[in-house]
Amino acid sequence: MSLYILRRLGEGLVTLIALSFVVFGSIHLTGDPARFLIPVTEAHDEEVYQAQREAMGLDRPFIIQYLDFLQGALRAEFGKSFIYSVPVKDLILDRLPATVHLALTGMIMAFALGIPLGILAAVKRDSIFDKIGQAFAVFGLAAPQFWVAIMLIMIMGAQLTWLPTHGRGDIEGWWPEWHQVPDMIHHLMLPAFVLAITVIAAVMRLTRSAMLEILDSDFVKFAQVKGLSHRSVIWKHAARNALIPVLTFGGITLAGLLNGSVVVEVVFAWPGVGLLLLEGVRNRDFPMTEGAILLSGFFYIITSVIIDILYGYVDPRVRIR
Amino acid sequence: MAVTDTNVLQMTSTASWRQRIKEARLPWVPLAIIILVLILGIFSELIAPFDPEASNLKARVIPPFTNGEHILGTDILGKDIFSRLVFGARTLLQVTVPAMAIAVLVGTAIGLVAGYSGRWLDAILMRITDATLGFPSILVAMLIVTLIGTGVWGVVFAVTATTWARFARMIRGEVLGTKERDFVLLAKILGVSPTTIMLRHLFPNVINTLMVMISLTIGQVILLEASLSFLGLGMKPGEPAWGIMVAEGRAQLLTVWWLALLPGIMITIVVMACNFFGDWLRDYLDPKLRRSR
Amino acid sequence: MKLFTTTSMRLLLSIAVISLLVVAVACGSSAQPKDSSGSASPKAAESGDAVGAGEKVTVLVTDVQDKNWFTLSNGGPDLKYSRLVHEDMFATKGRGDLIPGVAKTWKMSEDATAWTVTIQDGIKFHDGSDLTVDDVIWTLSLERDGGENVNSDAIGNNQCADPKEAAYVKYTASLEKTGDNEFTYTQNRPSPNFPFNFSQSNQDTKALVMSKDYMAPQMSTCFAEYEKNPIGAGPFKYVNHQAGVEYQVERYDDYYHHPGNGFDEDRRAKFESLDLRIVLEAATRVAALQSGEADVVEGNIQIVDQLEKIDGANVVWQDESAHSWFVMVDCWETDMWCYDKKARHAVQYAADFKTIGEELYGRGASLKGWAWATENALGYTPELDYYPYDPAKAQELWKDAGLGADNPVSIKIHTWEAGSFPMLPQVAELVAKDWEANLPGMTVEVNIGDQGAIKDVWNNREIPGDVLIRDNEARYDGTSITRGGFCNVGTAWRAVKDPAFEPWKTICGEASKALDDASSTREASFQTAYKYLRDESLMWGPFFSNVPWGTGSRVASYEPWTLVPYFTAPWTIELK
Repeated sequence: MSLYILRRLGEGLVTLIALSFVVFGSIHLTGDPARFLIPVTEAHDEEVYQAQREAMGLDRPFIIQYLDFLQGALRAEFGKSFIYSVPVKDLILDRLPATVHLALTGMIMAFALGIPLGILAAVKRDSIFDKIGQAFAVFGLAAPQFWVAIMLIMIMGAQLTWLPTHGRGDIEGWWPEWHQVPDMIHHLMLPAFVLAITVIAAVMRLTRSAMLEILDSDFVKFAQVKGLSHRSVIWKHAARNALIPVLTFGGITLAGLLNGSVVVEVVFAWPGVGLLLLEGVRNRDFPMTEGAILLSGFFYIITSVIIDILYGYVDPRVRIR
Repeated sequence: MAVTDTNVLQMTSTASWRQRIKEARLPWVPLAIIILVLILGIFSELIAPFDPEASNLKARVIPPFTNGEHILGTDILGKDIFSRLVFGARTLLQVTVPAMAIAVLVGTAIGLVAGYSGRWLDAILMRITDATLGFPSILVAMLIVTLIGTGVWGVVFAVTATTWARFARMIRGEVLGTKERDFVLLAKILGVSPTTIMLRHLFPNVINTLMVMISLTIGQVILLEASLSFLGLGMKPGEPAWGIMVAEGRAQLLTVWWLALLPGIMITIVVMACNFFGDWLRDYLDPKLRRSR
Repeated sequence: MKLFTTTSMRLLLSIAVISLLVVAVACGSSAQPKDSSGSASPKAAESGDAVGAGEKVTVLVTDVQDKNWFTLSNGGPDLKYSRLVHEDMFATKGRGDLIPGVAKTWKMSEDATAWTVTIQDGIKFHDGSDLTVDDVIWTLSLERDGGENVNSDAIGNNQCADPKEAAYVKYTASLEKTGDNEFTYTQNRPSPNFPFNFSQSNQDTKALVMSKDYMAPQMSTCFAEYEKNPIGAGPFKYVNHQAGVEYQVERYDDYYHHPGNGFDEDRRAKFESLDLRIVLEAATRVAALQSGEADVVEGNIQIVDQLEKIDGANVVWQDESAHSWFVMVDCWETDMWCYDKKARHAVQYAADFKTIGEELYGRGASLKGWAWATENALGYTPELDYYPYDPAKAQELWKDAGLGADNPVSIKIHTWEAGSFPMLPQVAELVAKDWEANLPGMTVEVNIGDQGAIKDVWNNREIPGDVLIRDNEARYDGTSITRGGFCNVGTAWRAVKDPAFEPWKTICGEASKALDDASSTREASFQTAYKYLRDESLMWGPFFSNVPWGTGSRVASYEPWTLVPYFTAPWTIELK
């Protein structure tokens, strides 16, 4: 078992390094930030351009730049942002709480809405509930995210003024103070909901199919034969087993939500890592883009490694290969 | 549920295809929508009354259902919205077909090879696949577009780059499940070459899952184009594509509402149709559920 | 097979739905549209204090370009927020005309190379220390090596500074303190535009007067302390910020610029605190204005209608914020289709800019002036306005230039989505259409790309004969562009291949000389230069854009400055 864990961790590390190379290489192919940052109309000449390149470290051979980057990345040092002039690590750490709050809340919302809907759909299979529930969930998944977000902002924020239209409130960092919590929740509700609706359908579908399988299985029928009440059958036996794949899905979803919040962050002016990344890509800010992408890649790969290890515990067959 | 006699008869005999279709409970509405999109996309020139890129400053922002010529109104440059929508279906096909084709080809090839070979080749390929899956789709898309540029091809490659890995992973999983089965082992003993085994024995078994995955991915492709266009990294403003149309009109929902609403509805309906169809297809092809019909 | 009674399921559902509704209503009724910190009741003036004690104004803008407070770091600070806290050396009125500010008087030498400036008494920094001529000298010396009399914190030695600032060092001859309140700055070339370049209307950050006592000791840390607490002499004091997200400042009660000190305008804020937030999405800004979360929002022409529809909201126009710029790339090459001036004139006559401007932009653009020589800019005359739409004339010129169906032209128009000048891609499309319709043999393809990528290919000379449509900031004093863009070897290639070739050299040289000549009217010499450039048509710009600002129901009035594209003049915001 421990061999398996070690092997899996090792593979994860190799993957990360491969990822770093791909990220670094492709970003450096996207253009010349030194040229980009020099204004058009000022009296600048080649000397200055070269000086700019040197300051950014862009005049060194590619492989040197990469190795430099890699050894920094292993220590989570990604260099200084070209446009912020502060270490990328600090920037990302500064914005990370916002993104994590958003992703966690989105996931909680998705489960809180998706699981009951999924159970309901399974129990009422092919009924009108099933169909409406599925339609609602799929609608959330099918409409363009930014469009839904803007409409919600207009209705809930501008017309009804029930919820704020943008921003995080006066919150800073990871832990809000007690009196800030209601404000924080107000600001979280809309953006997290927009994130959640893309996932609710999947959660619902997963719960539904898992429930259907369980409900059809022998041990549930046995429980019914034994005469246990419906409630007990559903909740104690069926639902709990059905939730295992759903929860696994949750781990991957979280990583995905963490990464995929760019659109939501733009529309809601949510100061998270996604916005940072967009800026980095648009402005050819190499260190920032590399840092942010590696960070998200890291999250995803760690999550999949952990899941694989957990599966290793649960399903011994996986370990042998 | 036990397999009744009549069921067996129906499945094995040449029962009329009419009965088969009724048994299958085809999702008529989603299917109709998909076919409609295909028709719009293939016959755009015949269906659309105007050139979707023909601007007309004298006929700007006409509301829908008010004008005989422009049934769905015009946009800020005076382009006919109905025509833009129709050609938008074509752009959809132009993006989706090549992108999915390449993604499926690459993904399947890698998945088959990885799953069948096992050991270190599998490990390497899967780590590369993992590395790609580690990029969230919008970030990959952003990178690709900054490399290639915006427009149709940028979006095509962005889609390809974000979707091939999931096919690879899925195919590999299927192959792993299938390759220990008797008929494969038999083929190996008989000395059939690995390529033949992969193509003739393993691949047909994964087609089902592949088809389901494709139909479920198409929806994401459409939405990815919309998101990229919103971020300024997708189609170019003025091009006939639903995503960029919604992006163009998104800030004017109170005044020029039809600019964003109409293409938005199109996107939602088509993505829903694809998803429902994919769901049905999965249910239909699932051997476990098939038994219980 | 029914496993569940419908009743129990329905019960569960109803409970869930009811609790959700309860939560929603609870949130709705207790939700404050504004942030909990700051805004008291709107009529705080009743408390007896006429300057809006307790009032907070929230301003939403699209983006800030630069993220640091220190002037010379990579990119330098963004004027949207740094001018809240900092004061420039020279003050201007809302248009660009210089008025006394930190600089009390200024005098140019005969040959225009030296300026003698006296500093206003009694100005204090936010930490209470006095602003003296030493601070101004220190600020200038940050990039202009003054030689022995000045500390050598110049750019060459300055590790904190951005290398592209190095260019200015070479122009400095000397920088001396010549009196208690006076200094003299001499360059090694004539510089009649020095005061403007270091003024509140220039879109440059080098003029922000820094406190020597506060900053000099921080050189070794690249002003780390300052980045956390920027101290200046501007109308607001720093409170808090998150780079690229939000900037919070509060009124500086001892701000110097008001009638009590002999100035015409009272530039002290009429409210207590200001919250500047970056919100990229226009629809969100509109929503925030409507809900009352924001008081002033940066708009664009596409959302002007939405802004006007909001109850109680107004639209205020900031004129001449940016200008359109059409660049005929590499047209000085003899084998180019556009080598003949007639061809370059033809394309201007062949596009219906009037209709484009009026239909597409409305109030949002004005068809006056040539490139940056906009209506209020130095050197403008109506003779510089755009070439009118005249297809017949265009075709005549086109034929005379030897072009037509037998000598077809096929080019691309490159452009991008610009923040400061909306709808350039649409303009490109319409212009392409007009050119193809009116110029025989012409085919035009429009390439809408990414700003960085297009600038790359432009700089690398990869798009000869194409047309580039871009934006640029408007300016009152166009010397930096004129001299920098056309007559400087490093950048002149954008206008001519070789600035030394005749007759370009003579004309350019003379135009520059006229700019430098202190005795003649600068305005007249600008005009001559602009007229020449308009005729040359290697670069041109038929219209400039006006930015709409939405003001909310709490705001009685707001008067933004002309010729600047970002948030200005916060002291003109008056609340009801």
